Amino acid sequence: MVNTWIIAILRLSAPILLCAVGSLFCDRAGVTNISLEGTMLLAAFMGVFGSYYSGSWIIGILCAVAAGVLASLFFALITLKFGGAELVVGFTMNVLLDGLTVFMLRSIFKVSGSLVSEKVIGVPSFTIPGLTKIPVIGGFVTDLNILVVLAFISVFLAHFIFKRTHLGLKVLSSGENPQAAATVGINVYGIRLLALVITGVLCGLAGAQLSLGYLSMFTEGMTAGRGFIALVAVMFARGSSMRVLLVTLLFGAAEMMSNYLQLFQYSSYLILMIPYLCVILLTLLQLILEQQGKKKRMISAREKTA
Amino acid sequence: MNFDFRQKPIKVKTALFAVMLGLLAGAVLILFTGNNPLVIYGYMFKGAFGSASSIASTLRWATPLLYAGLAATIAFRGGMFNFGVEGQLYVGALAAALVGIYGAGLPKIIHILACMLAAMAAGLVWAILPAIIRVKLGGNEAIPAMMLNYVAMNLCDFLVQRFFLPENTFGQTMATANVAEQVKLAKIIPPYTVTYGFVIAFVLIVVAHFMLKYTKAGYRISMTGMNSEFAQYGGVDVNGVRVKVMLLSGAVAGLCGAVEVMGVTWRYESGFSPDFGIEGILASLLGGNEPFGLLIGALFMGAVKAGSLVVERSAGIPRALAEVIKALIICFVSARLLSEYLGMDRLEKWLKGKLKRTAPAGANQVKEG
Repeated sequence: MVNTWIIAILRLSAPILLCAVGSLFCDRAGVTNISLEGTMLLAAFMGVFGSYYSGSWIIGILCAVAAGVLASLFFALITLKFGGAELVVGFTMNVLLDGLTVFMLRSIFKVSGSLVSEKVIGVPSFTIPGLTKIPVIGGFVTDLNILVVLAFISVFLAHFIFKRTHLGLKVLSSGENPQAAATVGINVYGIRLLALVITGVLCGLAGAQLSLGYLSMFTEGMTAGRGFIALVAVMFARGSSMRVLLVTLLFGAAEMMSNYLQLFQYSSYLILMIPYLCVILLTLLQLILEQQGKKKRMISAREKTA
Repeated sequence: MNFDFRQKPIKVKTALFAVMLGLLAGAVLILFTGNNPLVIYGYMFKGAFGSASSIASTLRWATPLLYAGLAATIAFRGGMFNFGVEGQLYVGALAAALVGIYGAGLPKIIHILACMLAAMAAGLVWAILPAIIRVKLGGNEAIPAMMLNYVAMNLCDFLVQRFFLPENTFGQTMATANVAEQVKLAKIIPPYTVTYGFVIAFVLIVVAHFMLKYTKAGYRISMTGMNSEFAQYGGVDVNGVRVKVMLLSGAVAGLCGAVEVMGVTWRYESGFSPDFGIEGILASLLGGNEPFGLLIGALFMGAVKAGSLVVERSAGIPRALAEVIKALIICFVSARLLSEYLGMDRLEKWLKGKLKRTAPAGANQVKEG
């Protein structure tokens, strides 16, 4: 039972996790990118598109990644190159890409709502033999797919990059103090562009996981706010990749609970609210804790100087 | 993450250029569907302005955007991000529908006012949490407000399903019964669907413009939005303004739901809003966060929507194309340096030079002297 839950949590957290790691790069580099939702959606569509026309899930994933990168490059173009306001462009891009996916769905595939077809090949899942019966550990090795594995690798990779590499330092300083970074010779523009490309790749993988991961279909608006949940995870994490992982797993658990409870008699509407309420509760919790922390620090500082 | 946003005034030439680029991109998409862009844009124009019913359609689609956009504008001017307009209009719609049904005994004017006030109260309540998050807890209100949108939509559907479903309904749409006859907003020119909701919206926009520009309260709001430290130094209770702005924004958003219910659908229906909240925010951005700019923005977006419906009926091109064009236009409007980059400034100078050369000789001599 616990294992089934773990399997579900891993599967559901993966898209949010991938997006969140991408958002982490953007945030640390000083780019406020709120277009993740739309980017993930476009990637989800292009993943299905690629898989449909090529019969291969690998091509599907590549298409999804390409779509993510293109969307991010568009954001970079309008924002970095042409001086657009990041919040406006990001917000508007979500509308743009939602409209674009609906447009493409209806004009290319001539269906509305969802695209379900046997031509769409999903990502195969695999299981590491031998350990499946063990509680808890078994949940981590059963029914995985490459995207879920990549999601977790990306978190640890991000952690490593930020803590140990020159690149990580450059990103952190571009975000922390871009003018100082520029005087030292860091190409802030290039770093930000790189961060956006990385975000594009990761959101592309996230979209692929959504539409090809365990289901093989595309539904209009299927991201359902996950891009924003990823943003909340990054805001809560305040730069720590491990915290991003923790928060994302929490959201995955909330979504898993929501799916699980739908099997019972509770009203589906109430259950659908659960993940979003969790986000709000988490935000409130974090803010209240921060306030307490500040007060404690102020009090102790006053005591020290008294 | 940096959520600072200060709206710079939008120059007319930037807007026109952005519209041109957006239409160009739309043309490319139209070509992909195998249609002739000129023909399709012709349909769109006819669908928006070509006949009395087209103009009515444009106004009908602009009306909810006027309310939602006004809500967004008020919030933006006060330095707040009300991304929760969608949720607020849903609760407002439900509130208005319920008062519309259960208040049937009241005299007509009171009943109509009661519906609207209930909707405004509901929207206001739904805006309280984001306001608290910003003012009391120091967090950003944008994303919690967005989450509340999803909560609102599900909550309203749940309430209808549990308590307010009329008997003998087995349909898929969660909807309440129709509101009382007397509450339905009258059409301005029957049989076209434009109701007095549009007139009320127009009046509100004018009121908002004058309030923001010529009253003390408006000054406080604008200063808080433009530079809150300066405002605070000048004695403005910045946090108070922020809360009031957010609550007012929520109330107007609730009113949007009410007008849609009372004027068009005549009942609360699940999913009745095709993203009016988001579109309202976009209309506000298009209008540079000024009430009269919003008027133009909302009318433009209403026109594009009306046109896109006709295009969908006549040529089968999905109406989502309009969303893409609208969103691209706003992106391009925001891209201030775009026109510079593409050499529009040089083009402008060249054109001006040409005009000078054709001016009468006397004028030139005065300038060079």
